[in-house]
Amino acid sequence: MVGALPLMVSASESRGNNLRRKLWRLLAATPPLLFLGVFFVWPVFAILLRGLRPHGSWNFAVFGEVFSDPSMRRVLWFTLWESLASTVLCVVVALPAAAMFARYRFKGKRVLWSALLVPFVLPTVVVAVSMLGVIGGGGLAGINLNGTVWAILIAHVFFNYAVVVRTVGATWSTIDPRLEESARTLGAPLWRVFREITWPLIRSSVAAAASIVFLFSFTSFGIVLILGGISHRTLEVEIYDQTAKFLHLDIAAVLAIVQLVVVVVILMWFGRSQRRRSVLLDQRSASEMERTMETSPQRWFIRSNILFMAVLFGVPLGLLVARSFSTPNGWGFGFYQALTDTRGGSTSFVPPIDAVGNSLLFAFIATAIALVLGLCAAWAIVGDGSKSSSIFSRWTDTALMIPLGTSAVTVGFGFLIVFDEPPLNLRSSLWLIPIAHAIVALPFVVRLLVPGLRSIDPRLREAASTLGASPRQVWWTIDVPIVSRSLAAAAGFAFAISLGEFGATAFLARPDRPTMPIAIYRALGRPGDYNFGQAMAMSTILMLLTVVVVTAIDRFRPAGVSEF
Amino acid sequence: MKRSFVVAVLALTVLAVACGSSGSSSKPAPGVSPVLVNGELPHFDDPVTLRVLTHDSFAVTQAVLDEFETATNVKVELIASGDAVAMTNAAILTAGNPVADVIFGFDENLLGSVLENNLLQAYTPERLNGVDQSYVLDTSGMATPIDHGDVCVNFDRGAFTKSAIKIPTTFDELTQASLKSEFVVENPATSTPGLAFMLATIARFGGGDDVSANAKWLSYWKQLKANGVRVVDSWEIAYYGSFSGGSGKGDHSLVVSYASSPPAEVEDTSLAVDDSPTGVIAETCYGQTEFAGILRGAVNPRAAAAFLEFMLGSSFQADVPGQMYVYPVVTGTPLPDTFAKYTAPVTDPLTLPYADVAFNRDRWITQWSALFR
Amino acid sequence: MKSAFLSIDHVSVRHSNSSAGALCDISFDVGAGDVIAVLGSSGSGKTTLLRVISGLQTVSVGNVVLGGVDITETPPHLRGIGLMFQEHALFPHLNVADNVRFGLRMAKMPKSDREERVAEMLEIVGLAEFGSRDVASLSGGERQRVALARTIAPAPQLLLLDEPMGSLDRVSRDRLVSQLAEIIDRLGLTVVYVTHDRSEAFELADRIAVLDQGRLVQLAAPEILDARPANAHVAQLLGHR
Repeated sequence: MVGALPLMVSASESRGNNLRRKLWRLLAATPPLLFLGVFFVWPVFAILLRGLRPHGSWNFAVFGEVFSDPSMRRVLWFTLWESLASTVLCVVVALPAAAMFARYRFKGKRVLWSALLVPFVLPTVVVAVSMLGVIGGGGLAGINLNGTVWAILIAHVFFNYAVVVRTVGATWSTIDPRLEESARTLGAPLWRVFREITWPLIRSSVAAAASIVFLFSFTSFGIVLILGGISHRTLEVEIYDQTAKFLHLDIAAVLAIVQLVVVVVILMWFGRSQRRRSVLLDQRSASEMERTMETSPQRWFIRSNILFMAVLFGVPLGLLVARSFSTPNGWGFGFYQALTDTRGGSTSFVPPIDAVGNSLLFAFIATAIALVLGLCAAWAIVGDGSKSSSIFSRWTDTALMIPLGTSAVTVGFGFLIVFDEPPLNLRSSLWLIPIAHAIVALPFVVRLLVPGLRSIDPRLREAASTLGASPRQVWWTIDVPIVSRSLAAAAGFAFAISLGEFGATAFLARPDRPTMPIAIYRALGRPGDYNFGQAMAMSTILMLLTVVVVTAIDRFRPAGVSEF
Repeated sequence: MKRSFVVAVLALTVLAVACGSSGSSSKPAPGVSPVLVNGELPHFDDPVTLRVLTHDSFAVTQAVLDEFETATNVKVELIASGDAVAMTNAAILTAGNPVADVIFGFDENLLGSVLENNLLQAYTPERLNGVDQSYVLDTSGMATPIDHGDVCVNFDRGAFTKSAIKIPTTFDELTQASLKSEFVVENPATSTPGLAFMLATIARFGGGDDVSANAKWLSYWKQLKANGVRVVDSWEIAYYGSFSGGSGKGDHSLVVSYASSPPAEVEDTSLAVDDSPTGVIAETCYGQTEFAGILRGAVNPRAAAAFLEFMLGSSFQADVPGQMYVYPVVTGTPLPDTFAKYTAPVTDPLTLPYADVAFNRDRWITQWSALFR
Repeated sequence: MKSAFLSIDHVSVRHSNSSAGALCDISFDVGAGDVIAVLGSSGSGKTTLLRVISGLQTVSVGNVVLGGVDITETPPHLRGIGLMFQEHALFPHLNVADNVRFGLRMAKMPKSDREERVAEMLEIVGLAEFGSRDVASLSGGERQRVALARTIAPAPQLLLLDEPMGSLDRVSRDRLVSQLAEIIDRLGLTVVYVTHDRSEAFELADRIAVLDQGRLVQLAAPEILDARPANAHVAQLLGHR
């Protein structure tokens, strides 16, 4: 793949090579689309077909059955409004923090910016149990939200806050504050400055972030199951039950199709609002955009933001860490020491150091797959700015996002029925784990790489070639250094996603090769202080690992161009 | 979920036929002939890989598994596929062309589906002789019992000592006003212990044939509901999130869990405890047996048969309580100290015929759900 | 000397982490219709001074009085002071006319008057045909003139210009300086004009203030400044050897 890249660049030098360029782009798009086709579309299609055409004839009557069932309609309605409410709530509470990171200089900013991603990659089980310790009955907050829709919404905000803050914050920091200041001196009060100047300029990145928050809330499984109680069921939970619990593949197929349709419609809608803006912003260094805190309202703004984060994240995560040190014998490292205990060599007690090793190994492979495919896809998406290329980009981008909005159980059971013959007898293969992780990471990687690639000014290449550089030298001296920063950021992100992935891994992991989230879940599935404590200790280690990885990403991150 | 179980079973059978149509027949496979050599595990000359499909709470001591691998020259590869229900459904979906040779971990509530879908091939282990015959539910020789356990209401001893309320001992006492909002149960639609507890109430109060909302067992649930019973979706959340006796420090002093949960709470033997911090209400216990079998279409049926014999062998049976918190089925197997010390053996657990469960389960869940949705 | 229209009264600004851009005890008056140029090297506090007058920067000590009213605590949008940045800061999502229209909309000017005013402003800066143009398509000089039109459209009591010619080449700068002088004169504007360019200051200003490291070193008419610079630094800024 990589060998093809210099050719693509040199091809763009001549206008006469238009057709060849298009061909290259198509060729670059092939591997990611083929990958998606084999490991996503095919299994999903097969399991849907199994449900709707069980013995050679179509069973469309089940559509009527499902849609006329009031409990199914209730599930669909709840899923829709719950995910929209989560998205709106998340955007509303995260925007002030995005403004804070974009506009102000304060102590600990870099660390906080990195640490934000920790909740995003923590396994849901761990978060849900910590949440219960705060907002459950007998929890620290003194209110019992367990089983209410508020618990679900709060947890969704907890998970997705970083997506909004980091995506919007990155864009916001590229907007010259003098635009807002000009508006002020032209007579605009603060709220009008936001509505008329800031909002139109950040809207597309808000839409990008919101689409991801929506997908995650729409397909939320563990959170709804654990915090929602039995009266709150989402489509995802229903699909899981109909597939894995009752094996009603026909009903599951109808629900999965509904899920797919809603996801595509929402993605297209968000995509539309993203494209409306065609304003190119001047790229300036972030420090030029920062302001120090001067007035007491500004200090108050920063403090209340940080206080909000401390309550939303600090309390549940702090409780988690505290529990990992709170052994029956008092405070100490007892649970951490117990992690190395193989418990008489049980097959289910893989020493955590092995789980860490497994997680790192899978994450490396998943990252490699996601980067290679993501690079191909990004190159194809960036295109040449022509109309046909922008339509193509839009569809590719949407296609890559769809797996995020699809139930893991649909794909997992699909795997079982399509990969059962050589040469693709992969049903019990460990390869499926990094492959599944790569599918989840791919849209993130692409969205990090595309802005990086777009930021390469063609004049730079022209300047280099007029100075006598060969196409290959141009590629090495111009494209590679610029792209490599985006690539490093994308790699880190893919890595973190793989470390935290749970839904698909739970289906695919073999007992002797658990990842960290699986090991945590397994420990939580057993009674007793020591199992619970070990789960908390392992979660703490996972959090630490995430902070390290994400901090490393942020060191490589191209200033202010990328999302997430 | 409204659809009756019969329709589902019909659909599944058709499905199984459709699955198997690509070569392998759906006729009952011939049984596997005995594999033991003079009562000992056989040794295979060529190295063989045996794949074992199991649920994600399966565990065995590595050294015990090594014994098997060394003795037989068989390499064991474990494949987990979610909980017992998801695992069984995954096996049904791939009937005839299975992902593994052996399946372990389906209980009697799943036994009906397993047999209806013709998932297994017959093998009657020689070591079945040592098993308490009350656990041998399948007379066709397909499903071999491996372990058993009981789902019981657990209580937090400390909470009762503190509140000076008498610890309940019967189903009826769970509905008394002094225990309002103290009881947490799992949803029978999504949780295995939740299902077992619902079956326990049916076994205890009867009315399983009554399709109306006034079935006797449902009247009991109405009383529980009036007394503020809390329903959650999974054991993890009930035990760690809501139960005050678990490590999560919740706010309910009663929970549906296992008879073997109390010893797990005192696993740290350095603690000076006279008794487990939690206990079991014996009258509420519902018995569950876990089975194993050789999957139809297995690549290595003889190695699979050897594995079944191994699971009924003394070392695996003795390993079961410590690893999976369940009891061995082979009579006379010694129990770990903590089990002996902190559990009262459940002598006469509630049960229901597995065929009744298979036939009525979905309807019961629907009836139950109508009360709690 | 006319009576003070704008009074800067013992103003100091301290930044927590750097001395660049700080102001130290600045006081001076500007009469109505006066044009004051503020001259200084970078980091001398010129821009901070404009930000203080416009209200974008709060003062540590001191007062700002405009037309007899103490506006030290008045938020920027209620001061009626126009500020034009060096980089012009045109709103990238609005076209030329919408940029000019912005301040008029904020002032809730009736629609018919507003359109008339926009046309008039674009006429003044010589961009009458440019109303529907995208700001990204403009040249540097055109952007500068749009920014000027936008700033003077709401008829500010006081016009603050921060290096308005900073990003232009020599030729367009010379042309625009004379155009600007003419517009200021025609509209009778009171102006504080920040620059580091001596010739601009001399061409436009009635008086010139020289800032060095946050202090006001000298304030005098151009010819006096030229004849008697207060110290070597001022002399150097004026190009004396």
